[in-house]
Order: sequence, then structure tokens, then C-alpha cells
Amino acid sequence: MKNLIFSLYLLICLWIIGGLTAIFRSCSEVYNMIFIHNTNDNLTIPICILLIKISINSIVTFYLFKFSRVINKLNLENFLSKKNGKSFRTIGRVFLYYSFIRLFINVIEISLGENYQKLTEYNGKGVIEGVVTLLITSLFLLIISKIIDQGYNFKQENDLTI
Amino acid sequence: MSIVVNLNTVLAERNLKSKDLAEMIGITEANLSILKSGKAKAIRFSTLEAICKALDCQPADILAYEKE
Repeated sequence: MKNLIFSLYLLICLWIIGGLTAIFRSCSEVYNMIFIHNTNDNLTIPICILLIKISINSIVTFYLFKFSRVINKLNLENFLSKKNGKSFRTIGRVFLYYSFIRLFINVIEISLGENYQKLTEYNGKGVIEGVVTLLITSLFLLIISKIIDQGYNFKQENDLTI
Repeated sequence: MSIVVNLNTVLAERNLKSKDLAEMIGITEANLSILKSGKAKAIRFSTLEAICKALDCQPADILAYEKE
């Protein structure tokens, strides 16, 4: 069990690094658009989309960081606690909302056409697969949080049986 | 909960302290306190039997149903 948790912790750390890289990349794209690009294109929409991407990536990275701390300090002897249930539920909801927002942004990016895609070096490959994977992960996390909550209630009942 | 535990009354009638009863029936004082305060979710037959034996009473003397 400890090995599994450690592996999960490492993967979450990698995910956080990936999130920070994505934020940095989006920031540099915004910088390039504002200060380097000399085109006459209207840059308002691409910049808005990039800013939304930076915001949601920041939120997800923040919650992943919080979740990694929970995973790191996980007490296996008292796994069925309210705190664990809450953190699993929170991260599940964050992933769920993130995947829907990511899907929505992807639809907008596709609808903006080739000009936008060239401007932002947009590559939509794998976005749908990523969103579906994240959706499945989020649903699993939400189910696990329900199981933890139910287990906590049973444990409470058992502890209060004299 | 509508089940009331009248353990305090029975203990007072027999001039016994919670500590003594806890020792007699083999449970901790903390658990006896949970039982007396009505916070307990359930009571085992073995515990009930031990209490009745120690206090020489019937389960109905300890537990009562009150309409909410």
C-alpha cells in the first residue's frame, strides 16, 4: 500500500510540474503576442483564451499541490476519515470542472479557425482523449470519496457501539 | 434519539459510581460515559447483560423509549 501511495505521490508531483510548464508556456505565448508579434490580426480573443487557460491551469495545479500534501501525509491506520473524503471529493470536482472547461475551450479554439491555430501553435491532437481520461479519473475520485464517507459513517457507528 | 439510558438513576439507587461499574463490567469509563450521555449508537447484548448482572436489574430499568 505504501509503495502504491508513493507512486501516486510521484505521479502527482510530475503532474504539478507539467501544470507549471503549461502555465509558463501560456505566459510566454501571451508575451509573444503582445510584444513580439507584428501582425494586424485581432489578438483579443487568443489572449483571452490563453488567460483563461493560465487561470484554470493555476487552479488545477494549486489543488493538485494540496492533494499531493494529503497523499503524502496519508495515515493508513485511519484512512476512513472525513478529511480524506473531503480532499478526494474536492480534487474529483476540480478534475470534473477542469475537463468540461478544457473541452469548451477546445471547441472554441477549433471554431476560431486556422489563423488562431497558427498564431498560438495550437495542436488539438489528444485533447479529447485527455479530457475523457480526466473525466474517468474524476468520476473514480468522486466514487472513492463516497466510499470513504460511507466507511467513515460505519466506523463511527462501530466506535459508538458499546 | 428516542431511546433514553437511565443508567444514572439506577447507579444512584445502588450508591455506585461510574468508575466502579466500568470496572465491574469491563469497559472503559469513556465508553460508559458515551452510553450514559446517550451518544452511543448501539449497545451489545453482552454489555447489557454485564450491566444487568452487575446492577441486578432488568434491561427495561436501564433503557426506556420516549416519544420525540
